[in-house]
Amino acid sequence: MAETLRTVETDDVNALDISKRYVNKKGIIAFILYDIANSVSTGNFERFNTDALKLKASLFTLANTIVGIWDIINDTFTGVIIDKTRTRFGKFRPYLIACALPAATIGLLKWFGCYIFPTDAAAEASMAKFAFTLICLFLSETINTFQGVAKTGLLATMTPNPEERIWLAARAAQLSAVIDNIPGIIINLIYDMMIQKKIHIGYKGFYTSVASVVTVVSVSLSLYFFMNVKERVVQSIEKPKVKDGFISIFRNKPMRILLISEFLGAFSVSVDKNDYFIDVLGMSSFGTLTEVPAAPISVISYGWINAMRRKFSNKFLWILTSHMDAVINIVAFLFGIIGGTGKNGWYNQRWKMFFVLFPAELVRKTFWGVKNVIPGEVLYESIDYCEWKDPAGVRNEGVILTARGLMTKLVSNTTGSLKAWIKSLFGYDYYSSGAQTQKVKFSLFALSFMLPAVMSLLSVFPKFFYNITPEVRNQMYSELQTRRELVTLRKIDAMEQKISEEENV
Amino acid sequence: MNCPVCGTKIKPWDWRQNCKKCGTNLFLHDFNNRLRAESVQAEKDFLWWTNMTAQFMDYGVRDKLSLARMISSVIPLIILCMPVIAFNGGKMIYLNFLLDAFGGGNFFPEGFGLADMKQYTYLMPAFILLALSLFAATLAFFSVVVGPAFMNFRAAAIFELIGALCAVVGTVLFNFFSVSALSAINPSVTSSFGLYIYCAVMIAETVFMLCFVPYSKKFKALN
Repeated sequence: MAETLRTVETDDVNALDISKRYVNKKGIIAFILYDIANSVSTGNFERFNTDALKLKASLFTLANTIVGIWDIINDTFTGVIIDKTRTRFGKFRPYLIACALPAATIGLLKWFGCYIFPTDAAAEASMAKFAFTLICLFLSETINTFQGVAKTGLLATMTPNPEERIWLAARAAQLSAVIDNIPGIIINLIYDMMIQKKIHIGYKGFYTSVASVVTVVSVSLSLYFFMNVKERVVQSIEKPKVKDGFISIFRNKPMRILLISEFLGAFSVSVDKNDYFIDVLGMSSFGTLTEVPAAPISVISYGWINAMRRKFSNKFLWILTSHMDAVINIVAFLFGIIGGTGKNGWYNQRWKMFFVLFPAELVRKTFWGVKNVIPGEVLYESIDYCEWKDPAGVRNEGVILTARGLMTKLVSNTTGSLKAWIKSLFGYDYYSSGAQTQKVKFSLFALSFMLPAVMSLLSVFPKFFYNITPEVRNQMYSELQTRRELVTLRKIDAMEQKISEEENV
Repeated sequence: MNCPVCGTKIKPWDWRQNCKKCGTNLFLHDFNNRLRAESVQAEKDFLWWTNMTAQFMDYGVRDKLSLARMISSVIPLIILCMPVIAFNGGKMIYLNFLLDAFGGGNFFPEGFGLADMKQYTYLMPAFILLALSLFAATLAFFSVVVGPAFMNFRAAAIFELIGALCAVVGTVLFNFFSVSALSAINPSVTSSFGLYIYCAVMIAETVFMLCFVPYSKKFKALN
């Protein structure tokens, strides 16, 4: 039988065309809906604690710190477990269904904690409430890590056709961009009306209702996605060794460059632009005001991803979109200092800065689609490159994805506290209620525009050495397709041989 | 599900990669042929998407007239974002809902969401009119954008008519809003740019509706 299979399939080996599509209509719809469901948040848990759960702030911070450390630790084994998973549904799909129900249960339990424990002032330092919050956050974090790796890995293997993969990612992101803000706007509107006593809903009722609706929708769409999507890239029958995953990262240049670039990018420290908008321009929603008129362009921008890809390589677009913000920030800074660094500087004037930042937003939104799709594609093609260069065609998505997250988290957790330190360094007065000195105002402006621009340049240099050119990419996918077919056949042969040997014995 | 080789029943909760009886790898079995079959179906399904976008491009943005029609559908939305300016004894006052929503306008310095609305109850009828006109104008825009994507002539024509009506209704409501809001703020306001804006939009909408006639016929011919 194995011989028959081999003859039929090797004769027909070119029939599996890399340019063909493999995801049907249901798969496309399921992926888009799942992507939208993922981008809808159940709300800010810290705000929930202040409003409803009322666990002492220091205990809440302690719980978050412990979970933050656990987040780094669990990255070290999540990828390995996923890489060693072999089921009849594939390697990533099982985690979608296995995690869906526990995630829903833990998620709901977390928000319903305000009904389980007393929330009066006497119960603020309750150890039972602290333990409950800690366990819920701990389990949520673990499940989220598995789901996150499984989702990214699944997108990398949903189709063997890289062009279809880009098309899917672009359509999902485009539709998400239209829809995913709507629930947030509605939730914020209800929250505002609630705090202004225009509608009479308690905090507990508000948070638990939102969590229940979002959880039910999210779980339903996860299950629908699980039922309609398949893994279409072959994984090795033998479970890969842990060290092979790390060797694969360091042996393959594109993956090495990607990780180094992200590691250096994580050092990017900046002062929040919102501080500048509030303390200098006196308007917290100034950023939103400049973004709103340009928002339709961000949706349309997904339409010209293909046109841009025809003219430029993924490498060029990756560098351009990753560092475009830096260039825009530098230009905005140069306009801002017209009139000097004192009171007459443009950076102090709302309307002048609007006419500087609005065109900047237009440019940013023009490349929004490319920015949201191409870096993901660079990651997927780097994973495929590792498979291509591996003699046995082993894929280690799990280890690669978690190693990437681990390095970034290690740095960003360390640099996270630097923001407050930088602000105190130039004399920021936390108790001045918006009345900062002129020197502090200029420092805020300079550090929120120039500092991220300069820090971002750190990660640009490795990207120039990225070696998957369009020619290499074409050759890689063409060879991978043929090899995957043959590898599948060899695997079936080897397996059938093993079975017949066992039967003979 | 049954094992494709030995026919053993595989229970839904049995996720093992190999059949427990014959050892067949259920994930890899007939993998390449299954991929080919899926590809045939996926290509057919993709045609649905290609047809929809091709039709949209053909009907919506192919030549100058179709582009004018598409642009005219956005005009009511743009108009809503423009300031309504009024003169009060030589002093100019303006009303812009976009600025007011974010706290940069004349009426809600703290932003619409954070304002204590009890102080502004006199503006409520005006803002209800604004909300209705904004809704109508958005519906008009989406009707014109979504309409061409429908294969069916009747559905496209209905969408187009809804869009045109919504645009006109939105514009009329917006005019009522500007008059109502300005007179609520200052009863002595006598003239407003709102009226001129209203006239401009009405002209744009007439062009919009005129564009509809030849295009709907062309669309019917295509079908």
